[in-house]
Amino acid sequence: MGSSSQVNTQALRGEVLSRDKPVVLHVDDDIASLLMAESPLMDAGFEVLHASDGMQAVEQFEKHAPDLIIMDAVMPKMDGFESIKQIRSSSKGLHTPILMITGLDDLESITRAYDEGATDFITKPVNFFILPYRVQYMLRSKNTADELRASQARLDNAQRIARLGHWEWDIATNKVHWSREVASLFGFDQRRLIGNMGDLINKVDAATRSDVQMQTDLAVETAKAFSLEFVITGKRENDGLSVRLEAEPKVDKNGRCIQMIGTVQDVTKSATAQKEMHDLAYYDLVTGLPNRAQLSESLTQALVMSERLDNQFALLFLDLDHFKQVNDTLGHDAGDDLLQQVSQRLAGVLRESDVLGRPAASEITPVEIAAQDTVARIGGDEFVVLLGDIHRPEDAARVADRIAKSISAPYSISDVEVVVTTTIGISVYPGDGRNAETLMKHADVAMYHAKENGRNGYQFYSRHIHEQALSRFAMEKELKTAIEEDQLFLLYQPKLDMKSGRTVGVEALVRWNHPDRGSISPVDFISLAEETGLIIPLGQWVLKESTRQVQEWIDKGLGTFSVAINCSPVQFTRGNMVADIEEALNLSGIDPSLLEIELTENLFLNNIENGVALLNSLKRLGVQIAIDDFGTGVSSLSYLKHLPVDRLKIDQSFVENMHTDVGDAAIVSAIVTLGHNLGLLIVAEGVEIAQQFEILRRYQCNEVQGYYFSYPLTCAKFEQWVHEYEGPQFKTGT
Amino acid sequence: MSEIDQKALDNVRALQRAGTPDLLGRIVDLFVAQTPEAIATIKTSVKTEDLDSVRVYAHSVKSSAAYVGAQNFSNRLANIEKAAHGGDLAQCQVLVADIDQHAQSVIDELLALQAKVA
Repeated sequence: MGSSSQVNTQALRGEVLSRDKPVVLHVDDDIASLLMAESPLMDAGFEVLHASDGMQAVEQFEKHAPDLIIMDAVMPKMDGFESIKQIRSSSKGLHTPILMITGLDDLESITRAYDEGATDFITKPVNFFILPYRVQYMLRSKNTADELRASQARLDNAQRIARLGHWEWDIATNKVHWSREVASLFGFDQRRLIGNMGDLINKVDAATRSDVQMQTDLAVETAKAFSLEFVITGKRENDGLSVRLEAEPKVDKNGRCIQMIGTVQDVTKSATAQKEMHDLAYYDLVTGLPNRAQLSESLTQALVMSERLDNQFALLFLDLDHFKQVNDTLGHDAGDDLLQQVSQRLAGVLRESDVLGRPAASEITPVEIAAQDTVARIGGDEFVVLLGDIHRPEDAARVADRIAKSISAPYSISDVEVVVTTTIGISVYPGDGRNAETLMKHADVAMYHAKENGRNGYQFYSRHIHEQALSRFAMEKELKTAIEEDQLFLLYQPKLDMKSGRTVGVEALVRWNHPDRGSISPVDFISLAEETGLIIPLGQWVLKESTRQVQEWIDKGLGTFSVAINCSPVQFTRGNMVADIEEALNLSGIDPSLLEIELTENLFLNNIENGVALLNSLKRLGVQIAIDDFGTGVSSLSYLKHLPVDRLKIDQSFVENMHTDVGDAAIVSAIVTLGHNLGLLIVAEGVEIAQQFEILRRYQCNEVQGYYFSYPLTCAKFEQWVHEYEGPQFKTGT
Repeated sequence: MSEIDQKALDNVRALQRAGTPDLLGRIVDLFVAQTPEAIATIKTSVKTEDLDSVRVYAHSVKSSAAYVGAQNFSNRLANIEKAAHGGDLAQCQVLVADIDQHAQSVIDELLALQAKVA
């Protein structure tokens, strides 16, 4: 437009005079529009900047970064659309509001304006009175949007710094949306911010995964907020991170959880710091053992647990005899060295196979032993051992014995051989006290008694417990020796067939030929053997010896007799009874059907399915099975048809009184009838007199044994009996 | 019949800010100064069949004419803009035939009004 446009540019506002006010860049090739809009905009408090074509607009924008742009659409040189496009492509022009001026009803331009990034539009002819209001409104929206963006950016930053991520779990679809920080913590692809709950839970370390799964499921089910801490397994830097997950439910009008909203935070550092603080407070610096504070906590826990579970536990109080001399002669460093070595030995005594792994986060490396036990150093040369779960006081005696032996082995301290011993006092919950102070005091008192009785030993607080423990402990040792050194032997009680009167088998009964006390009855040692597990080697011995004997009798031509042996449930639950039987059969070479395993009903009481499975595996070996003491169990009848048994042995108590008590006689009669209907043989034991025998004969009991025929006999006596016995009882009467 | 709508001029006067140069005077001056050249460009562009140029300049004059109340003239330019946009050269030729005279009568009337006010 030549010279005239030159004249007119003087009227345009090409510079920003004040930045105190929001700057509006007005772009129009029609100078009149620029002039007419100027006053209303300035009155409304804006600083106005002009441009008369699109290209100039881009230049002005780059130079002055206005807060808002009013842009005419149709202009020479560069139109408004192209101008917007260029402004939007620069980083500072991304969010600047742009008001586009278009022709009235020019839908094409309006659409294009939005496509290029215009914020709003206004049609020509422009109402210049209204224009400032429109501009103000747009700026307000822009400021709100800026604040929102800034706030979002601050939040993102804060979350990044706090290593805090957030997530939303939609229950119906199982979709979880998570933030970048969650992806970063769990080691997910940063571009994938959606998945399902399983993706998150799969990253929980295996030890706690099912627990985390259970707790989240439970929280959803009950629509409750929850908080969990767990360790993440993953690749490289994510592996081993401790995270805390917090969640709150959103519920529908029926109170059902429809969404869980939560956060995940990396708490590795605070977890490590906490652990370090805990270790400093609860562990002894010299030995790495728990200190008095930790012991006190463990003791409180043991008291709670034992009360709830009705368990016993023991407190062993010990100090080192002559420790002071070591300290005085070799110095404190040597003393510390000795304490460390003693600690290792104590832990060694208590350590069991399941040692818990624990990362050494601090300078102190806690000494690890079984979870329910504690070894603590409570000061100087004083140690306390807490045995969290003992079955009998002897268990504590056994540990004390091992500790005393272990401690008293020589130490090498600064190339000097040092020997110290320990004296141990033991208190037992609940007998010696029901609270921590009493138990500690009594263990301490017991230790001083032990010292009076000579050092390097142990002493229970209670004399009664001490004697009982000592005697049982002694007996346990003796029984072990007895099994190893063949002090056991078998007696055989003949079992006779009711119809023929012939000896068909024997029941093997174990006896202990004690070197000092002579023959000891099983009543006096079987329960001990069961408690200590010695029943297993004992049972193995009985199996081997009895089957060997049966084969010997066959070889001698004495006859073919079956042998019945009694088995304890402990042999099945703690040992491998089936394998033991198989071994005995193989060693002896007898026909399996000659071996009769007697079991009591209580083996099946707790778990009938396991019982049936066990009996089936015994039957596969070909052995006979008898239910011993039948009639005294509580659930005798219903389970019987499921069990692959061959014989029922009527409990002696019924046989004993059946000739005087019609009730007992009725029971015996019923058992015989029941057994026969189930295809089982019935054995009566404890038959002592003729009347009992006669009744059993009338009831058609199949087999009998008892004093009426023979006492249990030694092997030699039995062989003699077989030769001499002519079955007089069976010839009398009918 | 007057080419100028007084009401439009009143609207411009209402935008006048105290202590600033006479707005209506400047608008009229601009129109008087720019329009003949713009009209000449439009006519040349019709001759050279540059319809894009026709459209842009017609659009421009259309707006400024409307602001000074020359509604009839503005409508004519709107029609030219529309025809140019639609590629209708024949219609453009018809519409620009005596446009110089039309522009001149608008300018004359505006200048007369200016003189009267002054």
